[in-house]
Amino acid sequence: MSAACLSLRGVAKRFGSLAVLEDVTFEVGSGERRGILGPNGAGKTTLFNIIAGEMRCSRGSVEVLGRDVTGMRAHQRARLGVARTFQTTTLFPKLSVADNVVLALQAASRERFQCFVPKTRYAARYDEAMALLERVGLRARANAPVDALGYGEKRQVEILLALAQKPKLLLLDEPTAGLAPGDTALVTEMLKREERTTTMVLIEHDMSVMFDVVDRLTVLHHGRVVADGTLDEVRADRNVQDVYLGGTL
Amino acid sequence: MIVAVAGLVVAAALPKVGVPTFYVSLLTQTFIYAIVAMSLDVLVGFTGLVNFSQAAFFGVAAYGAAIAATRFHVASFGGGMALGIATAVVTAAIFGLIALRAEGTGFIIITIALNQIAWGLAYQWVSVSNGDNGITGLTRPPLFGLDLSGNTTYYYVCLGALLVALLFLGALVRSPFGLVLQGLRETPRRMRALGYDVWLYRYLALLVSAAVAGFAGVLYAWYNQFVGPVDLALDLSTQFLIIVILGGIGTLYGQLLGALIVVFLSNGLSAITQRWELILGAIYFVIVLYAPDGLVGLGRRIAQRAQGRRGSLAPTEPLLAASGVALTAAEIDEP
Amino acid sequence: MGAAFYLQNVLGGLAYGSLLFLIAAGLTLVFGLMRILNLAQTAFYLLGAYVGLALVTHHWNFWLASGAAGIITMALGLAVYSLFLHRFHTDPLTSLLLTLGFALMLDDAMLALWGGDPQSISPPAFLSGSVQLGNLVFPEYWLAVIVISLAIAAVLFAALQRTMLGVIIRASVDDEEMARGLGVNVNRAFYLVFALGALLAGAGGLLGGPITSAYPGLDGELLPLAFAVVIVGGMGSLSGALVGSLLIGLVNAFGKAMFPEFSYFTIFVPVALIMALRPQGLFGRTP
Repeated sequence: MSAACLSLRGVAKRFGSLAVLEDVTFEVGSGERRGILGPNGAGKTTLFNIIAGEMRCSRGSVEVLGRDVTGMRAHQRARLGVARTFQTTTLFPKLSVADNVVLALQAASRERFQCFVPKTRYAARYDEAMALLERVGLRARANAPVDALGYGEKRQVEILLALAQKPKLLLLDEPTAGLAPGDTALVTEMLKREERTTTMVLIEHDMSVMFDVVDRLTVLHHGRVVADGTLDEVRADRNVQDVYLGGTL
Repeated sequence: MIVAVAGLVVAAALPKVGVPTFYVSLLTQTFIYAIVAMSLDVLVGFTGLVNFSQAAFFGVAAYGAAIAATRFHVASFGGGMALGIATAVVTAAIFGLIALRAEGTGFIIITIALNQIAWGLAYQWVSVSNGDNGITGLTRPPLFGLDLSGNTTYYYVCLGALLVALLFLGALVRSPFGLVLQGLRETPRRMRALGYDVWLYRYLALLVSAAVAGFAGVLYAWYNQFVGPVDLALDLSTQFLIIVILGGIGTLYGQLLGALIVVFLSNGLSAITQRWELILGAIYFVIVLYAPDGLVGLGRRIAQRAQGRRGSLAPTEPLLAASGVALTAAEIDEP
Repeated sequence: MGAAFYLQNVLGGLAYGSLLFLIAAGLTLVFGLMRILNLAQTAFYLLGAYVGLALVTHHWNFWLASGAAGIITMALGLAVYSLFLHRFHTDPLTSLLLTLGFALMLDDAMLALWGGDPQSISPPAFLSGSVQLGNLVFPEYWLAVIVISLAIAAVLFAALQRTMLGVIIRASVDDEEMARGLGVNVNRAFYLVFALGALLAGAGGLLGGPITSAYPGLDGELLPLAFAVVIVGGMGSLSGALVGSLLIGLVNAFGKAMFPEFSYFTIFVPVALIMALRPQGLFGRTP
């Protein structure tokens, strides 16, 4: 299947004697929105770490856009078009909001090695950052350090950085965790506005966000895939109802 | 800006208004130390690498120039300088391969060990370094036909060198590359996710910093007209780090203030008391405890208070994280 | 280079290595438990040597003096820890920089009190002889140091395995938050471990005195060696500290005997190799 954006085959991860993931195999098609569901400790974040290249898997292989990236390091995968957000906000707290976004924007440019010209000379880069910030209504805060933002604003910047990478595959680790309902709606809108050139994989505990955004679900339990299909298929799946959801769907 | 120009005018005038040559000489040393401390600040304050081997870069450059002059008759300013800086950069290239395997505290421990290796080589490899006796009889080569043997002339050369280094490093930290370094200082994990090769940038920062430290090292060899193991001792690395912390991490120009204090305490106080290290240690201790953003930070806060913008003199943050530097314990970089 | 040469250096290396263990054990446990890299650890050793020597010249029994030197060093260490270091527990860089400042002040104070001349320290009279085996001449005291250090190591290992404190330390090295979550009194463990580290280094000062003697700058020479031990063994691992100490001691002895111009270099070759091949150290946890 050449249309797959992400393809995992037999991925396993062990920490010492603890098996966190076992034989995880699934594919995510190009442009698809995929949700990863599972109780705490199911191995969702570990799976993201393996896809993004922060960790190596103990067994199995990871393919992105048809390329085997199993042996690649995180920054190499990012250059191929893999972007991610983190469950706990992972920004540059002392730098200004604009500089945070510019760091994401210039990651793939030549100027990142430029060391004599002031960064402000790259006006186009800052204009682009401003345009992105405008989209989430943070333009007025562009010069404030990220530290000074409120929690909801930080979560928006967290996603904005990943979007600024213009990713082909975007991994979102609980983007709305801890957000007030209004902010959750903002974030959901942000994700839904993204074009289908970006494939998304989403970990999310808020089921309404999940069902609003994703096309298909993959359910993990104890490090194994227990169900994989469209929302309706997963909803109807006995396995899922029994072992995990207890009929809440 | 006004302060900077005024400072420059004063610095330029000092030797002309009858300041004793002893103090002119101490100021020359201050300028050289400030250059090294600024180069170290690029690592500590901007990249988040607390390097305990900056004196090794400084010292090997001094040795490089000295050995080139005494053994291979490299008598020109440019030649000695180029060879010295090259020695420092090569040393950093080797150190970086080893030390950058680790981050945080691991990096500190390894740079301490590496600095000690450099010292050990200088001390024990007598056939090259002349051991504890060091290399004597260095003369200052002329610069564009200008004779540098006079201490006042050399004072101006080092003042000029300080300005060059400040402009160079100031431009560096304001450039897109400098922004990358600050991103590394703050959150290396996110930098990886954004597609930056964290290792590579740290390595480049180390090389640039070593080149500037080497620049200062060669100036120092000519200033002292002697190079010995003491010029790359761990103690000196520590002293450079103390200068950075006294002046203010991440301020660059603050290092001039830090260097002034350390050089004048170590030389000036020795006339009054032998216990200058105790006094320096105590000042440093108090700064770390109560003004982790250094004297520049303290000054800023006092100025703010005078203008009534902030009520409190307490640092906004208790940690050295005031400058964004923090260590995560024994994090190991991915292989 | 006959068998005597090797045996001589093996024994000398083990003796020196066992001294390093007395320093590195505290260093690695303090780091493992509370993430403080104590740059004053070898200054504690030197202080112990000077204090111990002062007591011995006042006709104290050597072993008693060593214990007393350890306790005095421990008292100083505890004072520094509780007054300054404890509150920076979550900030490894500040605590490291504070220990550096403290080491500077302690160094200068020792220079003021005991002067700049090297002071040799004699072993207790009944151990001042030498063992002679063919060509091999070996001070009895070296053997005593090896035996004492190994005994101390055995006690430490037993304590780490068997006592509640040991459980806390091991749990905290692995995961401090979890240890706190278990409801154990991590704070008390901090004080105890810091005290233990200072005690061992201080007592080691007089024990090692007949081998290293005491002089200003000795602490600066020992510090990188102690760090080499910790790098080789792995931060936070007591077994790593033991193996690392003996290894560094041996490499140091053979390096000095075989490559006198490069002995510093040879010590750090294993360090560089370890860093390249196994950055977490021989006994460190896999990240």
